[in-house]
Amino acid sequence: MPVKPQIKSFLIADQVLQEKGTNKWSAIGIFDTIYASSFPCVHPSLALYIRLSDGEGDFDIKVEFYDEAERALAIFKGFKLVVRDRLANPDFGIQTKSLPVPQPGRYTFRLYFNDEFAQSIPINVVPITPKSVGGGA
Amino acid sequence: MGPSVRAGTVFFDRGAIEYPEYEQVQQPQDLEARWQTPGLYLAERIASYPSVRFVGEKMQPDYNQVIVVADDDSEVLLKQLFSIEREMYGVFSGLRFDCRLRVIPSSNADISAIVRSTLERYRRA
Repeated sequence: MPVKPQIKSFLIADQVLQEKGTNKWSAIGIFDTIYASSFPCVHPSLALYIRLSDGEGDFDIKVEFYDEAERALAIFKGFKLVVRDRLANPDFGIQTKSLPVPQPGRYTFRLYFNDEFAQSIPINVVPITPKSVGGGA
Repeated sequence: MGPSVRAGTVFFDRGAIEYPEYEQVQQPQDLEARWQTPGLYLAERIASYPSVRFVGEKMQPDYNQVIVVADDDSEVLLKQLFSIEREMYGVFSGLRFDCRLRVIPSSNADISAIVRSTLERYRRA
């Protein structure tokens, strides 16, 4: 019986890199706001970094992207994580492409293990104005 | 899927340390994903049908328009499209989409107007 892990970190970034040899992850360009000049639009590439603890078992990972109206706009799944040691703190990053953004607003990424909800993280989408850019993607 | 070195371990002298292999954690392998939208979902599910020439998708503020261009509208294809559309309502909960089939035989090669009008295009592999 798998033990669902606790989420220690759940970050949105421009890029995630894993160093060969040590396998340590780096999250580059962490952000929580997307600026866009027109809508609908597609964000070309963003990454999710996730660090876990206190879990054990085989997990199918799924992430859904929801808008404020509770509509599932996009998903990805098919990743498997195997944790054999409950004391391990596994982490991983996933580089994603072509995130659909229909309009400005507040959205959430929702993380699931074996189709069981684990945690969500919000992201704001803001129409661009000359003075509004800073700290986003 | 092979064993992975445990991440998060800090080595002070990298030159002097051989990194140990821990087998407690096996990470996902292909860590790159394209967000699956209704159009891409349908394109992947319908990929085995040779009569499907093109699946396009245009995102609107409150719904997604999905268009399937096929050589014919055989009953088998229609049934499959209907079945996939029902799946899509389950996968993309709460999302409205307008799924349409256009029959344009491959003898008519010009579907450029449809291609131009869609934001995302999913060609058959």
